[in-house]
Amino acid sequence: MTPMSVEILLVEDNPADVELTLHAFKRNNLANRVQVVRDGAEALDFLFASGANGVRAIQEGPRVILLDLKLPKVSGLEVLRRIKQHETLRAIPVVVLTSSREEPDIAESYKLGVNSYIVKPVDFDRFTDAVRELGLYWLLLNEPPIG
Amino acid sequence: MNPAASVQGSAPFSAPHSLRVRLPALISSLIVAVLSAFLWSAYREVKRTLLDVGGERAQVAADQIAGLMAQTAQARLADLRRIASDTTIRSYMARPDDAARPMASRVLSSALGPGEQAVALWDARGSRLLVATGPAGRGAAATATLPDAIAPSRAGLSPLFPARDSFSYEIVAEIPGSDVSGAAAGVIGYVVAYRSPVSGVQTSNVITRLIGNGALVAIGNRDGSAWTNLRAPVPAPGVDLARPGIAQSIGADGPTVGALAPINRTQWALWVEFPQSVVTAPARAFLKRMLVVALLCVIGAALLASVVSARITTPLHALTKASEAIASGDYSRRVATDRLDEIGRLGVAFNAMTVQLQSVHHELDERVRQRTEELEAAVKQLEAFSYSVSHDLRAPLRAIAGFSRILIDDHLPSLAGEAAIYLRRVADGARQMGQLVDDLLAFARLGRAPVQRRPVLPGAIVQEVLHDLRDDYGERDVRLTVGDLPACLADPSLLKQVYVNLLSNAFKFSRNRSTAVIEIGCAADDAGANVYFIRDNGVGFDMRYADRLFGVFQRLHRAEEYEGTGVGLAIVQRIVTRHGGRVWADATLDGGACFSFTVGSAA
Repeated sequence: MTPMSVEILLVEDNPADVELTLHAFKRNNLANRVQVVRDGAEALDFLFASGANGVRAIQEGPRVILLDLKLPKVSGLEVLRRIKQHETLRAIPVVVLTSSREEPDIAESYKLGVNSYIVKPVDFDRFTDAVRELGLYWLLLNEPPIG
Repeated sequence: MNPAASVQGSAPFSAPHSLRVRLPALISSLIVAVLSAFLWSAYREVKRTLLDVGGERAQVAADQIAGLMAQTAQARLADLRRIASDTTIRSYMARPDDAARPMASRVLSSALGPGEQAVALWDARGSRLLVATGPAGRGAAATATLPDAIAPSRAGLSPLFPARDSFSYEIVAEIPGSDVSGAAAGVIGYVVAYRSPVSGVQTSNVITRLIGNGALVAIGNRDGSAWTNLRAPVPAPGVDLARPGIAQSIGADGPTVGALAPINRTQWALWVEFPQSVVTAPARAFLKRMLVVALLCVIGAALLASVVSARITTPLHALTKASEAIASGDYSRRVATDRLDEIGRLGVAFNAMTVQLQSVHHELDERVRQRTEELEAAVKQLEAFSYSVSHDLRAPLRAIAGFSRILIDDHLPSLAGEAAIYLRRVADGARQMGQLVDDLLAFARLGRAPVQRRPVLPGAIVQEVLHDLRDDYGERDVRLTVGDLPACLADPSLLKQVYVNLLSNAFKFSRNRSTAVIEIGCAADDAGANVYFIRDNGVGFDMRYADRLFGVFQRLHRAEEYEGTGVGLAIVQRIVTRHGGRVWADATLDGGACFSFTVGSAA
């Protein structure tokens, strides 16, 4: 998988959640161009094209970023802040996909400019539905910014 | 809280109630009362003394004038006796013929005293032999007015008797006879001088000048007849003429004080009187002077009292101001303590109290601040904890639910026997636990979020909730009654949560009825407060367990009968309590339930 073809960047540290999310994508035929990073630092490295992922043009970013909030090293909110402060990256839609239903997290996320906030349901059917809907919306229905 | 408001809320302070006014007024009126009593008694005393003194003055004057008069009369009597002893007179009396008459007449004329009307010679038989008239009684006319007779029963001074327009009296000296040897024997006649006590205006003026202006001098017989003031006849003084001495009387011009003195060797008495108004004039002058002094005293005392009360009320005012400052939270205020009296001590005590209060207040503030910090820390920890629960507890649940579901969906054929059934149980358990965690978090969140009251219409909220719950009962036969729901002050989203939970329960526990009857309404309680209620005809419950109804995770029905986590009513109770209201339930087992709540006042 080349960075060029990345459509979805999944930032998630929990392997079970990664697997379930990927499974849900697969069921909905969206899994072929998903890039998984396991912590906030890795996400920033990927997006800002530094570190392990080598040279990468910022302009070739993913079409949507699925971001967990509770991440090792750099927190999800910090990642979100960095993305939304960047001149170009801010155009990429960010969907927070988290277990947290806490009011401060939701408020802070929207303040930082998140495009959508989804609480991961425990129930797998609903989880699958949620993943499918956000994939459909952000990848198929939503027109990406011209860049 | 505004402590200053409570201070201002007390009875308004008005000037007439101030010590600053009342103390001087009290002192002044006390002084006025004391001074009035003192002045009145002093005036009475002075007046009495002045009357005494006036009486004594009259006595002295009367005695002196009476003495003078008696002396004058006796001296004149002695003169007449010398005339009576004169040989010419005696020889004429012995042989009153025409030859001796001119001689006797000349002697008699020379005996005429100043101011006397006449001097006459009478023989022992009572015939007038010769008359010599003075300038006041010259001529035959004057002689005619003389008394026709005398009563020379005894020599000396006669009582006063009326004569012409005035009074007269006689001074009678006996003319001694002589026997052959020449020794005195018997009385052969009398020398009589006729005088008037009215010695003319001049004498009266002299006397007046002697005893003072305004005085009255009167002379008359002791039997009350023939009284004159030396110028004209006057009535006898209204006192007991038999008792000499000081007496008070009512004169023509008001009350008088005077003294009566007898004139020795006569039947006359002398009366000297002063009008009381003249005598007591100094008392009135004294009173006037003292009134001025008293007025000055009162003014001075009032000024002094107002200064003194200002000395008292000014620090009191300062104390009041300082107290008000403290009441409004300013502990920096101190009052002056430079005085050594009680007020100074009060100031010291007040300052000490302020310092104490300040330190206590400070300590209390400090303690509250500490406790608040501790509480805030505890709340933060709780929040961190619930965040962890929210995030970390759900992740493994999601894994359990998710993977067991994948197994069921994708690998069912390769599962042996009852494996699929157990797997479903695993998935159900995980899902249920996820629901529990969600409900628990929702319940915990309720304790933190602020209640934002607003006027709301419960009717609109109920319609909204019924719309949301349509999926739960839409296909059932439900007879729904929504009564009149008056507006109230509540947090709309929280009130909606209450109706969601209570209506969900009503639908849930009535679902095995062929026709569910659910009534939503409002009634007034004994105190007139609105009681909102939701009544159903469902399975109800045993009232014995009613106390467990609103506890977290408390359930009165088995999970396989009626699903649920047991958090819904706990949430309802928490919301209602946070609104200051009350929630309770009435039910019978298998006879339906009625849940009621109040919203509480906005205070």
